Amino acid sequence: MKISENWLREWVDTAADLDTISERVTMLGLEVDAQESVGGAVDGVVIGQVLTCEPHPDADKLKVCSVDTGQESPAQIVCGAPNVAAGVRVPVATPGTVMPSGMKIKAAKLRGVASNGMLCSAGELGATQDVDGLWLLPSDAPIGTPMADWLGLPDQVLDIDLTPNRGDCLSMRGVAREVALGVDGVLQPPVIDPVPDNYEHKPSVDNQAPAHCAAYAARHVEPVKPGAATPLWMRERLRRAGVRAINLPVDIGNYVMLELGQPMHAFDADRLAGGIQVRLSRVGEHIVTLDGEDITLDDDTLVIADDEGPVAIAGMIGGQRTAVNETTTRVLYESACFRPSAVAGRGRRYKIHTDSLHRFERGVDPRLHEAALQRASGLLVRLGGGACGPITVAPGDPLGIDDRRIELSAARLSRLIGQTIDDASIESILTGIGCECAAIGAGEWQVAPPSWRYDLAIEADLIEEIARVYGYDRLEAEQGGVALPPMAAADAQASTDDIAATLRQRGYHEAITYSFVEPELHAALTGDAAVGHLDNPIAEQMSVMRRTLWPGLLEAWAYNARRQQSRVRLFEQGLSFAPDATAENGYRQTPMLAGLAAGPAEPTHWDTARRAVDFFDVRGDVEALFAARVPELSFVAEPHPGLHPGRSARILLNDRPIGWIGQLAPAFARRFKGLDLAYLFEIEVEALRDDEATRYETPSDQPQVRRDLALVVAEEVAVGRLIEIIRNAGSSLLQSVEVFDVFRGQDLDPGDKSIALSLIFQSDTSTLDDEAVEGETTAMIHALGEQAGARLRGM
Amino acid sequence: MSTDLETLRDSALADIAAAADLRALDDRRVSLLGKKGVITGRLKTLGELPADERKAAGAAINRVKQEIAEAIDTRRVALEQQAFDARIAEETVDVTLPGRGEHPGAMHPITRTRRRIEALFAARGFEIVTGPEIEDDYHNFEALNVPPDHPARAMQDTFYLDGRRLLLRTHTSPVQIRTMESRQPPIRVIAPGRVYRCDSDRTHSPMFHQVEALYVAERVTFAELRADLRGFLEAFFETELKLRFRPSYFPFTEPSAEIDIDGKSLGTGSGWMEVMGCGMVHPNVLEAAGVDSQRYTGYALGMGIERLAMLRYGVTDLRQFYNNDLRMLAQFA
Repeated sequence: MKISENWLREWVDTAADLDTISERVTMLGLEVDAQESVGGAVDGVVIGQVLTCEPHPDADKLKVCSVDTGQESPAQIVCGAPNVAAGVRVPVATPGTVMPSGMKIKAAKLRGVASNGMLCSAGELGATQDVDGLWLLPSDAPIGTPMADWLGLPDQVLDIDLTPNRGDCLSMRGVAREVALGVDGVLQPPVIDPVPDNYEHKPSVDNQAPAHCAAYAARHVEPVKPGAATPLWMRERLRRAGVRAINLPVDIGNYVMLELGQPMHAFDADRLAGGIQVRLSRVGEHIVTLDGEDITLDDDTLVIADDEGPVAIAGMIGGQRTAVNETTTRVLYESACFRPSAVAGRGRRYKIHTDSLHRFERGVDPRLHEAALQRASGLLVRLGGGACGPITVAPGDPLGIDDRRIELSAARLSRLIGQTIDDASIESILTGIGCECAAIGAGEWQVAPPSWRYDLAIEADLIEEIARVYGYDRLEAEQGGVALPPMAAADAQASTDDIAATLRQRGYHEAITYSFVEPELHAALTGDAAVGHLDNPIAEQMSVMRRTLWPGLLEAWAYNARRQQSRVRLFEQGLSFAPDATAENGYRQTPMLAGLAAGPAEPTHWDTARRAVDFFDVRGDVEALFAARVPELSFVAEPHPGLHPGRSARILLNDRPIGWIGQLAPAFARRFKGLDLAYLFEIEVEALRDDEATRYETPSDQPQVRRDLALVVAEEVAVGRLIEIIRNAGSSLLQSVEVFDVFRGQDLDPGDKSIALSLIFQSDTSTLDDEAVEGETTAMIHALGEQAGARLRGM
Repeated sequence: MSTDLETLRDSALADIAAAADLRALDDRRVSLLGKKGVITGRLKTLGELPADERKAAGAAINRVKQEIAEAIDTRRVALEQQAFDARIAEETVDVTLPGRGEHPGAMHPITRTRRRIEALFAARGFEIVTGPEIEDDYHNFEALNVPPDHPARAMQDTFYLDGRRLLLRTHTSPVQIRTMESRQPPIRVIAPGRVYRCDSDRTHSPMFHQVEALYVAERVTFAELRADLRGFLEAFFETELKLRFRPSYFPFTEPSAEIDIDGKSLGTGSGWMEVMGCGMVHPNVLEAAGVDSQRYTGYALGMGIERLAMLRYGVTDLRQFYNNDLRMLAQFA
């Protein structure tokens, strides 16, 4: 809401300066976003009239003008504007003027012709953004008068960011009330004298939708001088409020809306067929709006109609067929009270937003429509001539606004805000905002809020009013409250941020990428798994909800690789979103931890051979996350649509699948051109939390016995399988199995590989003898031969 | 001293001086002073001399022996020093060469900021809770006192999903509802997490992070909220702040306020900067979540993590947080 200071000061008598006014209303909840000077006032710019306009002898696009600026003799000014012509009145920047752009106007020669000043556009004077052509002033603009005086400048505009509950402040009247409250000023609204009706023509209004329209008032004004000009003062007030001038009857309607808060509509009465009907639209009906849009209406939209169909969407926008134009001589003004629920949501449905709709959605004072109609018709008679007919008011169901009675208790107020405010102050604040208070006990009232405050419905609403007017910054805490025991996470439940610290120590930076990703990349990575699609994405490449965190990490990798960062380690924590009929709202939303590693295995070092990251680097990173629980982990070769078929594994924890690890599939080489394909992993965060607190086991004091086995097996036998066989065949004496060598070639048959394992045996109670260990290994070797075709090397 | 002994002594001393290392020196010692050494041999031949010459000859040999032994010791010390110096020289490293191993990665500045916020609230007894990001209209709007077609919905541009059946939460406030639905007061929780709004430019990201705090108990007051927030913000920024508690509007709180910090008190320039919204939980919200609004009051607040991170770390463009540029991230390691 833009508020002109000059206009505001007509409404509120106060000595406070504008900064104080801004600060006070901001602290009342009307946040002043900006305080700007009204453009168009430039020292040295006067109103001039072009007397003659001749072509420039040496330039096609320039004209040599003789301009009357109120001085003894006219000034010669060269001008290049397309709309310059003899007779027009325009702003003239005289020599010495400094323009808002910083340019200084000097007497000069343009292509050899003397030019003493500049004819100005509105844009050049900072009045509008529009810079095309000269600012053509009305023919009665006084020649020689400084523009600033004529425009009523200087003036400042307050841009107020209103919250949706304060529809009552969408007018000068509403803002002035708050300003008067904030600075202790005197509110002095203009006196609106009723305009007597001078003839019999009473509008016929049939309110067929009383539940949606609480009142519909209408009045004729005729005969209006066709094409009567809107006076400068009104045009300027509209301009400063950010409203475009159109024609006199429409401008008056907008002016009254800005002044009082009542949206108005002007119909050309000659173009209406029969009486006004207020009703719901019928299926298939349509209307061509003032903007030229042809809109097909649903069957529950409140419309204003005549005998030929809708002439306006109620409270939103008028129709072209009955619009007022420069030939109009008979005007019908509408001033109505539509229920907020009758217009709510319609704007979004029809993709129309208007100042009128904005006000009706928030609620328009139901006691305002007649006064506003008087105001508008009075202004039109004054400025456009003609006379008024009688007013018709077609009432509907009352809004119930006047029936509100809210009980307020000072005790409950102090309980909520934490401070006691004395009864007299409470009453005075409530009265000050327009409430009527009736005491019903000590420190208890029955409060009737004013008709313009739709937002006051319950006690908490009143408490908020009292608190904001009293001043939030005056509320001091009386420490009390309820002591709560300190909360700590379960001992075993390390924060995932702490778990992620392991990755940071291993060189991974934490990334945060968008939860919505590009459909194509995501589909390729997940094998076209089902996803949630956004109805209204910012862009196509941010349109599906990710099931995996990999697309974001891959994009971040590519982003960094393009910036010569060859070694990239990234991880991210976030939700994966998988459609799942059994989950709440049909989506399983699982916290995941994902990582990406690309480039050299280790940071560049003068003493370390450069080697590309491989599967086992990344597997090591994953294992590190599980710390002491590594023995519960297993990695099973399994294809994944996003991963290299020979370098991909499902990760299991105690045989439960918890994630994936592998190298990005070669199919992605084209997308990530020139980059060695990254390694990826992704794990359910829940699996990283160890739910059991550690149970201490006393380490055995008995000596360990180590036995090494060098096995030869076929290439396709996984080492993990050999270890599993060994564990199954061994007893509890077997403490650990480590792989210390894998090799191929030499004396081995092609297709075979040799695996060297070291086994540690230990008893809790006694020293192991060779025999016991021998028994263990014999059973293991036998099982290895039986189940995996493995034999001891050299046998 | 006989010429013979003198010659022996001179050649022995020359040999000792010529010994290049400890082993060579030891060889000399053995050949001179060892059981079968030359000097030892000389002493053994003393018995062959006439008795009156023995004493003088013996003394002469012993003097030479003494002299040789001292020369050997002196030489040993010198050679040991030499060997030590050589070893040190050999073991000397160029300490200016870089160290070996992994350079630790960084916590994302958003996470770092979130952790800091969490720690400050945790110290006041707030528990960390989370909620879903794909939400339903009920939890994101209706239960928060924002019925369909409420103008407040226009304050938050919403991403919808599955033909408007679901949405991406526009704030962390639905976690308030979910928490109150599942437990009774006293409740003291914070809910950090990602939120989404259909808006993208230099100062708006379609995804950003909030922390919501909710405190519901008997006699929680607006004044207490104000004091708690001042305490939090001054602890967060580690400085005394000039704050204002500005009346505002949120459908789910009443009274509602926005907190502005005077840029001067933060050292980031002049003017008021909005940092968070807060208020007393609206009775309709308490009732919708099954909490007796006659008995309990509560405060709620929500802050943008990015906003606080930008102010604290001097990041000027919101989009920097989501580029994941290693050169940016590494600054937070």
